[in-house]
Amino acid sequence: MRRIVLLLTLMLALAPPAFAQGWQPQRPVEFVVAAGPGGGTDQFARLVQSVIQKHSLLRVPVIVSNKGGGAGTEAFVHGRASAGNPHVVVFGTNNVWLMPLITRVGYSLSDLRPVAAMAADEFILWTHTDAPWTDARALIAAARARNGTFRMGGSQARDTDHILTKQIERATGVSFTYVPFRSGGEVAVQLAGGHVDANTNNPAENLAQWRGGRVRPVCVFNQRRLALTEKVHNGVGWSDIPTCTEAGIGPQQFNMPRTVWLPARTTDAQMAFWHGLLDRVRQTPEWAAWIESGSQSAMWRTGAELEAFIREDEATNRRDFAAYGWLPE
Amino acid sequence: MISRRAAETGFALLTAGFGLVVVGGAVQHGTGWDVAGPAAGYFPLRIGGLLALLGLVLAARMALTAPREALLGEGAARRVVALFIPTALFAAAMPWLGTYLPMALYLLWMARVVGGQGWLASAALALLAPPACFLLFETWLMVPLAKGPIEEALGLW
Amino acid sequence: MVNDLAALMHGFEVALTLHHIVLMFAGVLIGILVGVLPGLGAPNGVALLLPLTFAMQPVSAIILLSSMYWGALFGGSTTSILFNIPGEPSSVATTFDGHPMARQGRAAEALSTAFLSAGFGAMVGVVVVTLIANEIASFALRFSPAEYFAVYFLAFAAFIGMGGTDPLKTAVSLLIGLSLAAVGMDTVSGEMRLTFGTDALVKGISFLVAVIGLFGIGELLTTVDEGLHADAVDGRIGLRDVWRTLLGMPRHWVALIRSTAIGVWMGITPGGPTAASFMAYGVARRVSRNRARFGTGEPEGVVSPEAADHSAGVSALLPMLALGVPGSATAAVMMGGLMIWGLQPGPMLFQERPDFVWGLIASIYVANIVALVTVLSTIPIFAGIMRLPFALLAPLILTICLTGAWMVSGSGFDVAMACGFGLLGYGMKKLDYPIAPLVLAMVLGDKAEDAFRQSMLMSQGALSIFWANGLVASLMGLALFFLALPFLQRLFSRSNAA
Repeated sequence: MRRIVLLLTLMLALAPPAFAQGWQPQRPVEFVVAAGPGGGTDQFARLVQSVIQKHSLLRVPVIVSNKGGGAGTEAFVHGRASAGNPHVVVFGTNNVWLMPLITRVGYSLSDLRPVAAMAADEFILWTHTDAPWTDARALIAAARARNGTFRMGGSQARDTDHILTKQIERATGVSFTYVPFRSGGEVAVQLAGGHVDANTNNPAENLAQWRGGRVRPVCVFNQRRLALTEKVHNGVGWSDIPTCTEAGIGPQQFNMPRTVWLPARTTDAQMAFWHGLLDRVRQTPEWAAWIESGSQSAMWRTGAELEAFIREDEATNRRDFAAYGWLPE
Repeated sequence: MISRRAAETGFALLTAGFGLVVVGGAVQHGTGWDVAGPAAGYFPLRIGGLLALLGLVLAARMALTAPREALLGEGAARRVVALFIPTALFAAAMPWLGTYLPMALYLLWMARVVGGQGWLASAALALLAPPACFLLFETWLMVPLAKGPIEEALGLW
Repeated sequence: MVNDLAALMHGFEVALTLHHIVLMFAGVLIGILVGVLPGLGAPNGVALLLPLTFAMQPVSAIILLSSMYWGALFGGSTTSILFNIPGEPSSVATTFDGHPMARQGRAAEALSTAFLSAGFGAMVGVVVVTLIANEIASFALRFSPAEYFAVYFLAFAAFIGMGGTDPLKTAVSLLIGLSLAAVGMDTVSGEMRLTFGTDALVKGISFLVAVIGLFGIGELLTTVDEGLHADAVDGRIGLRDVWRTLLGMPRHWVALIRSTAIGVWMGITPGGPTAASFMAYGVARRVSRNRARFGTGEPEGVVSPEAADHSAGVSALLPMLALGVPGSATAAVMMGGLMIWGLQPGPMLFQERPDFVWGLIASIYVANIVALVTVLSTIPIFAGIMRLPFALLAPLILTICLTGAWMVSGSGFDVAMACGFGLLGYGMKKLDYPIAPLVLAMVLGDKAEDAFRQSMLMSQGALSIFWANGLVASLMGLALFFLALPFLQRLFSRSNAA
């Protein structure tokens, strides 16, 4: 209702020709990244920025600012404070709706409006090359024999890696020691050094160590094998990684959508503008190249479909988190 | 005039109070040591507790032994307040009025009234610094500074 | 080895083209600018330049960015010395003796000492990198959380426990720093600690904001309190001072070598430049012949942290490339750049793109010389700023401090907090509480806690993980030795007296 009122106000406020062309940003735009510099989310936002610049999709400059404090909540709190400001665009993952579940974060999901989910990052179970186990079954058997002391590395507590570890535990009945680090890059090195026994990193996070022959993929958490046929190390490539279902463990499908948000109380015309812009971004060759280089999956969810997806995912995770005892009292 | 003894004792009591605040925050989390090692509140509880304890010990010692001489020299309090209060007002105004107007007023006040500089130097400083900051930070380095109604009205952002 | 040398020579051919020298100058100048401004730093410089690099050759792009990084390292020391505001965390230790020197009218000497030591550190760092480029990566892989904790503990132990101030006050300062470091989200448990429901505290307390307040604002409050208006001291500051300092540098050879060794070690082990500079200062203050004068404007107190800072910064760049692990925010943005340029940082980079790696290594040599010459020639300008009337300079510095606090994360709360830290810094200085332990605890406190708790997770709560292998055991042993040193010294001198 409020949205409609705002829309009507806007219609009255703007001259008819301007409205016919739709809303356009009038000032420099701020891309707020819910992560520190260098990680996947940061690259996501900076790539969108570079595509916009290269193809001159915007007449105003774009400023990228990193607000990675509190596992990204700093960016969403900033989004809440920017209510009604269409020149602030927030880049995150599914942490937008997962963070409020596990801790007091200073914003709620209704403070942000989802524009689009633009890509899905895959998850792979990895182990280091000195490990005696070579496939998923052997790894799970070894973990079972280790009786809870098998070390699974991941980035952040109660975030995607941790959730996935819990799901593997539930699917196999094995328990792991989950060791949280600050970033996927750190986890990759800890695995390469053999300090943890396995991790569930995204393809891009472990790629370098795989090429260097320090770690190897065990299985991918997807219903289908990855499409990329490029060989990475010793004649093994992305498409050779078995799915975890065929390897007999874990959840069938697990990925992390990369999402873009506007602050609440922005108008539908403003939403439509950003939606259209991102739609053009994802059709550029640069975008396709980035998706491929990180072995991510293309995804394009918007509007009511996206909102329904978020609601469903939140409800599922809320149930699971309650079972893990992660919800704050 | 505040004596050094009073100041030392007061500051030590403040740190002790801060330690208690930390303890208060820590006990909202687990404070034990289980199989997973120390819980989230384990270190804060001990850090805060130790801080409170040391603060109290220091306060007791200072209350008995610190010299009674005046803490501040002649006119020092006036100079510190004259520097700090306008700065604090500038800081408080920044999120509401934006950076640039408070900056100009602050520089003018500090140079002319507090610093006793001539009108020309003071006005030049107050008028030149804000646009210079704008060009340097916002235009060139692309780092946004605080904006308020004035910037809004001028369409700067 | 011979192959490496040939590759390096080829790298020099790449780095010494006119195009690349021009890029180095541009990068260094931008780096000095962002380094000088508090609140901005090398990450801002990288973010500014990154869009420009998309159209460049990768090797040109990394030369531009790394030159900017060296410039920022030098720029950070400039403000530390002149205004007591460390531009970068790693130049905090430079304030301890650098700023007193500037206040005594020896700004030019302090700046040249800092730059020349830093240049020396960088050169040794890059030579080490050249010699053992391939071994560094496998060594860094041996660091598990237990070793990380040992390195942080070592940095603490080497710095804390110095004589001079009341040990109780030192402890209080340290504990305040540790408390502040704990604010915000806890990595290991995912819980929000010590935020008391304040949204602005969720992101934690920024180290930069604290430093802007404690050092920058606090220093000015102390200055007006003492009524010293830092009057125009040295009338003529020219390149002659720089020359004289250069001739005097060999006097500090022991400190230079010791600190560079510490720096290179901390850069290769992932301790980083900040820990390195504190540790080098702490060690120098214990073993130097001039230790009694430390903190009052002793050149060796500038030499030590600067040489360590830069040698660590240089030698930390290679593990980043070889492991794909960014050691700092700057390195992280650069790594993102590598990927956008189509390069994959990691163990294979050396085999796949030797032209890129060796071009970069060669450019470190050249760019540091370019940076050194550039910053040395700016000394008269910067030292000249000190001659502005205090009534104009002080409000300008405070303005830069407050806008700098805003720029850290665009939050009004941060600006208010910087003022609060300013009062705290003034109060601590007035009442003889040392500020350095607080700062060190803020930088390393939560990292050390994370590493400790990760170790405990991995060992099922067994403390024996801290002496489980030779590496971690020797690090811990060295740290304990440093902790015990003051007691040993006292015992020794007492038995001598008797």
